[in-house]
Amino acid sequence: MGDKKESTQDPVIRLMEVCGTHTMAIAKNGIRQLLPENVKLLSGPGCPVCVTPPEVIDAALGLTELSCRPILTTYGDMMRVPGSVKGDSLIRRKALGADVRIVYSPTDAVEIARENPEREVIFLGVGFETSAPGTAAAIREAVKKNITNFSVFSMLKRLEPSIRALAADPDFRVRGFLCPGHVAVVIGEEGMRFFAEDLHFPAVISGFEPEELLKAIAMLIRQIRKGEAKLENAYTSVVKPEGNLLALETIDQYFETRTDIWRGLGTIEASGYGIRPEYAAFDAEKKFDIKIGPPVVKTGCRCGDVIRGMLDPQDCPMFGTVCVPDDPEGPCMVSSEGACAAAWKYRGI
Amino acid sequence: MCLAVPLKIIQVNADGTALAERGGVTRSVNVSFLREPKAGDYVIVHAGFAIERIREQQAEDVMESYNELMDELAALSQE
Repeated sequence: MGDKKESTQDPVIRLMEVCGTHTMAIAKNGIRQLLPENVKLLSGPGCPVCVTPPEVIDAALGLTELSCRPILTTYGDMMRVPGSVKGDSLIRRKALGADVRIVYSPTDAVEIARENPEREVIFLGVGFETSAPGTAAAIREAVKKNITNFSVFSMLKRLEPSIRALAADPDFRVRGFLCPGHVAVVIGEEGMRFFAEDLHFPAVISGFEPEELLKAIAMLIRQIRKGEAKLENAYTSVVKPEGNLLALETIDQYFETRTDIWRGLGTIEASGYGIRPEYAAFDAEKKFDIKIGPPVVKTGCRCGDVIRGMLDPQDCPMFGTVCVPDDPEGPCMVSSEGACAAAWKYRGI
Repeated sequence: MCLAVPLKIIQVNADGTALAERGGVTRSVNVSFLREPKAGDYVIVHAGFAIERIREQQAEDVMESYNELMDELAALSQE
């Protein structure tokens, strides 16, 4: 917990961000290079692709083998992510003849379904609370327009349970958090209060521009200096105390929380979003009887340690040698929001 | 995944979508998560959805923020 007495004697102050977009923005702007030796900025489980376990990626890849030959639609950064077998990814399956299409928005996937009524269209619903409302809205649109050949494979996850799981680990030495700015747009300051009120961490909701990141880190350091543990909002241009109620209502209408498995963190209760039973006709897991295989223990790949902030990407023995974006061992090196990918892309800055 | 882009709404449609613009490029965005969206609103768009209006915020520029951080780090190192 943030208020453990021993942590005040630790000379190194570790701060954690839990947003893949923060990971990239921090690396791109060279923020770490401004910090002294005793202040470290770690990446946490903020990349939704990276926290998806290999056996779930395998299940998504398996959809390309369905005899109905579905159109699989996905955000771009899922395309190169390997499952349990290195080299097996959506882009490889596409090269071998599967119909996999990149979409920018889940509503684009609904449109593809509308335009191809004779084909099944499955949308891979990856993301956190920022993406959940849009995914729900896609189901809403399919329901409204009776586009019955559309379904979603929900891999959506919630922030709070993963942070609680991290904080419960006795080896967790983080002293403060940068809170994800666009998750906060949806869940509000209210949704972030648990950082400070329950877990006693200094926490600052941060934007993504360099000046916003610098300011948020300054606010965190100030809190730590003063021995405070409060939630502050440094992104008030878009983050409201109550969040976006319409977005929250839409999530609640189509999704319910469920136990979910996270790479590196294991099984966490109420940490995922599953499609409500009344919308089962649009739930790809039910429609195609998707079975998630047993947990895969992948030797070598340390992505699970990276996303818990326990290993810096550069300290992984495979970083930049065996594991590079063109030939990744795991998602952290190939996702557009992965900590290893950020470290690799902006190495030398 | 938090990636979102600021855009300006130029025309709201009846069906929960709007035409939005940035740098001369227009695209359709879904505005169903906004109450009473209107032309002229600046919004933040994630995966085709406007997730919030952008309100004016007293923003520091990079140098002000940088100096603030350096001041905090200096104070920290003295403790």
